[in-house]
Amino acid sequence: MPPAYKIIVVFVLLVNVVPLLQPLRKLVERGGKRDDVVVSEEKLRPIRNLLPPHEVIGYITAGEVTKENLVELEACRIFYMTQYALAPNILMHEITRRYVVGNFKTHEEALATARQQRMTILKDFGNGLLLLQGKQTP
Amino acid sequence: MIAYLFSLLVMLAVGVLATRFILRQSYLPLPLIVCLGSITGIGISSCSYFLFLLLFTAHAQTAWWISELSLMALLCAGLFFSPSKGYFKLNFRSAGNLLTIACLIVGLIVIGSFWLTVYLQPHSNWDALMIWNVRARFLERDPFGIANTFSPLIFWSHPDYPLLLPAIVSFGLLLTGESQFAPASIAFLFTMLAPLLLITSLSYLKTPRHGLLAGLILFTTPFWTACGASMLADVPIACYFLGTMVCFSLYDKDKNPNFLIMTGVFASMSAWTKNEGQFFILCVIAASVIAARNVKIGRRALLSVFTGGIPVLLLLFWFKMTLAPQNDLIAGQGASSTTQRLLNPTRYLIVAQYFAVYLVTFGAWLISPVPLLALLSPILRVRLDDVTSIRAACTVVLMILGYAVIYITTPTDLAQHLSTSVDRLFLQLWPMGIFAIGMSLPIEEVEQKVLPDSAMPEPNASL
Repeated sequence: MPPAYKIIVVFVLLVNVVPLLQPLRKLVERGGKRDDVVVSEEKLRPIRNLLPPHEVIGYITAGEVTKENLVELEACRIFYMTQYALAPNILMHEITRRYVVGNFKTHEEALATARQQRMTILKDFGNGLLLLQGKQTP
Repeated sequence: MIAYLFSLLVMLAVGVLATRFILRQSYLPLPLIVCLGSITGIGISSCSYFLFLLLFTAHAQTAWWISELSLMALLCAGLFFSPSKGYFKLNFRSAGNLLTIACLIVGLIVIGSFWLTVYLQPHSNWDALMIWNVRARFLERDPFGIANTFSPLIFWSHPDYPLLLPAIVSFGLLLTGESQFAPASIAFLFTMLAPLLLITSLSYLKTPRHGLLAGLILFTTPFWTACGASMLADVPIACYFLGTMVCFSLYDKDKNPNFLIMTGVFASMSAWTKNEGQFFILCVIAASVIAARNVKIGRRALLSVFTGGIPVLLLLFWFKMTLAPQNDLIAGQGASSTTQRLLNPTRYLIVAQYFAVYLVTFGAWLISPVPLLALLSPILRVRLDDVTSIRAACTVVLMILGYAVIYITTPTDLAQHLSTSVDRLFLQLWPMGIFAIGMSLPIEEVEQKVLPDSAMPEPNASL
């Protein structure tokens, strides 16, 4: 291989080391902020042991979860994080199950939604997390 | 944690010993056997643990330990009593210090980048969290509730996907008390093993310079490390694709039929990692027939795939027939709707546009090496004139064509489907592509391999 080409090859390869350092930049940018999933795991831990095994659990949150643009929607991100934390219980975005998990950003939002849906709060974990009694289908 | 670290050691040891036993009549470098064996070991452990989970459920862990330790003892005994050849010694000094040092430094940067990414997002990114890690949690937290694990109610988590990663990660979660070190360590092994396999295989099959350059190209693909640290299955499947191709090439060199058995093992494990692996088996068979221009050799390749791959393929068949719901892409097909999509020229254009852009940019490079490699090929005298390089190149081309057909007929939104997956699909083929280029680069006269006396095999040398 002629030397000039060797230089080009080595240059291209070494330039591409720069993006490998991106996590360092992210670390600096993030500061003291913790990973979303880690925070969600801690928030949902107390409710996990209360759920009956093998039962499909209802789910409610603020905002709509639709099939379109699933990942972009904040509500969908929270839904996936909740399902991840509460596995092996299956979570369905509906309120007609025996138990319903309410996962909201704030406590006020949680209480307001429960009131609006006329649902009974079985346990209030604070921090926007509720265990609700589902609305039975007629 | 100690139990998990010990189990990792055991699974890698079983893989290395099994590979050494199968290939004991071949004169290979030890690092190459370690790379091939480690990748195999993770696959064997995943399959056996999932099988025991189905058969013994509550005692799956005990069954796994008994089976792995017994297998290890048997393989040690087998290697002790049956004569095997010594090890080929790789001489990296012939590649030049600069290349070796560059590879080492970049390798260390990759390791740092990997663990920093894991520190920043210990539960992986969205795809891994929604598909692989959530399934691992289902298996670990409720092995008795297998119906829930593969329920169509959680269709968005693709419960039909094969289980190499979820099975082995669930085992790790069980031993570590749900530490994220379990999925991260498995991801780390795969992220490092593919470049190391490229280095060791090409160093043996061509020259250490070929090997180190190939390794450097993969190490300096930022998307490779990012995908690996995100615990996505695209990196493990790329390892199995590469392993298949390496074993085929070793067969071309040594004509030891046991390499064909290893080919089957790797190909079947790719099918146990992701659905793309099932398509890969067809492509690699077709590519072998094209490369050999002889259907008889193609049949031998087919037989080898089934001989080596039959245990894993049977497990996959069982999973697909009894547990997995129908794949969403297949479920969304119908005679009229598929025909309509196939006859729509706009879809071809969209796919072609995405492929043209992502073929150059999928690695998230600052400067893409793909056009450079294409431009330099005539100067570097890249020649597809032997069965090994033609097979590897044909497999890559057939896989790309297959992916294009899948996109054209996808029942989901085409642009969204392409933008969320095409870069990962190309990444799966990237190590195999680098291997194909490496195999088609000629050896310069000055860098002909020099075998030191110490590298010669000793008669009756055993492990």
